Amino acid sequence: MCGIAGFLAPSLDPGAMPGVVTSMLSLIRHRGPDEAGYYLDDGFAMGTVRLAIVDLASGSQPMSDPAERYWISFNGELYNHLELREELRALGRPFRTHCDTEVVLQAWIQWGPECLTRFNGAFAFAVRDAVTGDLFLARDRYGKRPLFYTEHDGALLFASEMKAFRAFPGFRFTLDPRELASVFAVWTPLPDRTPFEGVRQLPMGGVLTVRGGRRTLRTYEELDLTAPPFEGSEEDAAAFVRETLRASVELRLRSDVEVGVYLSGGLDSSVVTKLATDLSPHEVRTFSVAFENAEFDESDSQRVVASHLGTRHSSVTVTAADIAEHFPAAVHHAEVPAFRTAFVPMYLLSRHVRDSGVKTVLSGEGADEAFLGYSLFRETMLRASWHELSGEERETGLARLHPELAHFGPAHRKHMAGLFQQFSEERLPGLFSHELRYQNGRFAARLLKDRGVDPFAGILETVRTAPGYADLSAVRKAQWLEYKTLLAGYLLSTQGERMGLAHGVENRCPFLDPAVVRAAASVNLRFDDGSEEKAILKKAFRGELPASSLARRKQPYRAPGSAVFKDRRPDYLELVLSGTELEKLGWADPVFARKLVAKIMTTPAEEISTKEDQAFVYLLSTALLDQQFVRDTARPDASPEADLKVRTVVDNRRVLPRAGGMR
Amino acid sequence: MDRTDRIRQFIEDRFLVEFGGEVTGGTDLFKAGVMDSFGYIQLMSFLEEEFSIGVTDEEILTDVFVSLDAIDAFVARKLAGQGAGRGDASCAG
Repeated sequence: MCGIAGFLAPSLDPGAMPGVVTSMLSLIRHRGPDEAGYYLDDGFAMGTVRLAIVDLASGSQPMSDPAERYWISFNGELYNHLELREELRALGRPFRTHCDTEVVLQAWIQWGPECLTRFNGAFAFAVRDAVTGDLFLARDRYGKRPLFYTEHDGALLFASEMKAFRAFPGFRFTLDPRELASVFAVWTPLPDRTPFEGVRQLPMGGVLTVRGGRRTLRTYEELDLTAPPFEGSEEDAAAFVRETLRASVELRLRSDVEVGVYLSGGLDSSVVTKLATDLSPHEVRTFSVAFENAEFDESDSQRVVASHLGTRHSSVTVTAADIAEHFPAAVHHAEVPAFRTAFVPMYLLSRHVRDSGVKTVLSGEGADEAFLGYSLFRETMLRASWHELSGEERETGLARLHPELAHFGPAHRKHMAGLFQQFSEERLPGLFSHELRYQNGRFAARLLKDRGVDPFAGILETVRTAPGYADLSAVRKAQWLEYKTLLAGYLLSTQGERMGLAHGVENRCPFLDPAVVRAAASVNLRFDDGSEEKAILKKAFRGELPASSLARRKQPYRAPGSAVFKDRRPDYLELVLSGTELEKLGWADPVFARKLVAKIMTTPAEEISTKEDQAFVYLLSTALLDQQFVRDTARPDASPEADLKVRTVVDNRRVLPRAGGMR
Repeated sequence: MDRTDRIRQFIEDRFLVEFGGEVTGGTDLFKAGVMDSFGYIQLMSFLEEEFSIGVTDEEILTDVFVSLDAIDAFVARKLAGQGAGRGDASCAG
């Protein structure tokens, strides 16, 4: 795991290049605190901050082939590097290290961009051909590692985190109200977007080629959620799932450093922990977030699993005050508006992991998307068949989906039926499954001054142009949207990768192995009658996990929301409390923002609706981004001059710096 | 405060919206981002309690509950029906 940054800037003074690239790397040094390196060529620079995990001794970057024609800056891990190394060796490719980075480079030289479909890993990288000057940027198929790019003054900049662009001469961030509207409505940036004007993200499974000044972006692998239905019995399917997951965890335990596990106490992370303890030759260390507030705390379940599986368990207890204190720093690392605060405890957890001496962890992310763990999927199934169901079937479906309705009485159930009726027809083309959620998002879009923006324009275009999307069933569309938006845009990034790498901790996701995604697609609708969440996954591990973990109804990981700010009133709250400060936010509607803030500050927490809470967190986090990135008046992580441990410097420039041209 | 005002006030207070500008009596409150699922349930409970009306299963499966005008007209019809049936229009209370 690492961070990469660089630029293609023919008109930049060559004398300024080393300073610019090292400053870019300094801004993302938290991603790779172990060492740094950079490569310079005429009009081009790229570098890496490295978190050494595989081949600690000789895996320094940027790395080249023996002929020094191809150079790579690599962020991530290639889990099947041993198998590919053998294949490449048989084809005569030379190797000088034991590092997976070299396998990626040699595969690129051997097969070109087609190599990407062979990779099983989490990665984003840049390859430079020193002879032709071509540049290739690529990203893994599920978007586990980030890669942003932008154009400035004729230069192409790229980096693992956007904040690195700040080091490029003259670059300035501007929040884009159209993108903000989309983020607020859809909950996350679209797969190739960011909240900032002109800054794009390489889409998952994408490769950007820059050849002779021409840029070509293409997708080497589309998200495929279709698979022939599993033909065997339910027992066979459970065994198939177990074995596929086992192989995935085994690959992800490959490391020259210790691999720990994030244990939430839920089914998915318990499955991962179980397999890790089976496969690891050492005692496995598990790490959890505990909350002071019992409403959010899952310590008991975590302890039960840890004790059952015999892990060495530790947790970090997070208070509401902790969330308020670290919110600005976590936003700075997330780089996008947030709709909940749950990423802040993950920021504190990764710090705890790093302090414990561990820098790689497995996590259960991706299980709910693959095995249809969210109620959204079952809700979609019910709404999609609403008109074909009898009144009794509708009632049964609603009772299964919302067991809490029984507690509120028949009136509530009747009202819920009315709501389902309202949303049993598609209003936004192709977005049937997410209409209820997206309509709620319209509320937050009211925070924006420019009401003329259609918050759904981007997502409608995304699904309209996605190959094969229109032919998917309602529930498969729901799955597709979850993979592309909430999973990649929040769970893997804001709450996952960015919080982990803030403290140099890499996360690996066994449920996001292509074989696991395929296996899940072949079984998840075959044996699912909608009555039990992730029934096949539970069946696969029955008898191997504590019965209480298997019986437990899914509890989404949550953290206290706007109440943490309201009760503590941290200094930065002034950004949204003060009318003058609100006026300074060019994108916000100060009248609505004031109304929302006033309600949050004066209303008991239990009377605040989820969408109001969410809109407030959006407002506050976006105001902080504005302050940190646009107005540049507060940088929680600002000390770009901090020394990088530069180990590799390769200077291939033939054009000399202009006299007195240093920046 | 008359019936329409009470419904309007509930929606304005609950959903942080003001009728008269972008949002009018005919606006689809879902589409305008005013009402969400939680709000819908609250609104239905409010209507039943505030006006002592019972919304039948059949009625709830129509799409009248998305704009102020349609909701208001529905409540008016219900109250008139109750009044005619019971001979007591004041039960609208």
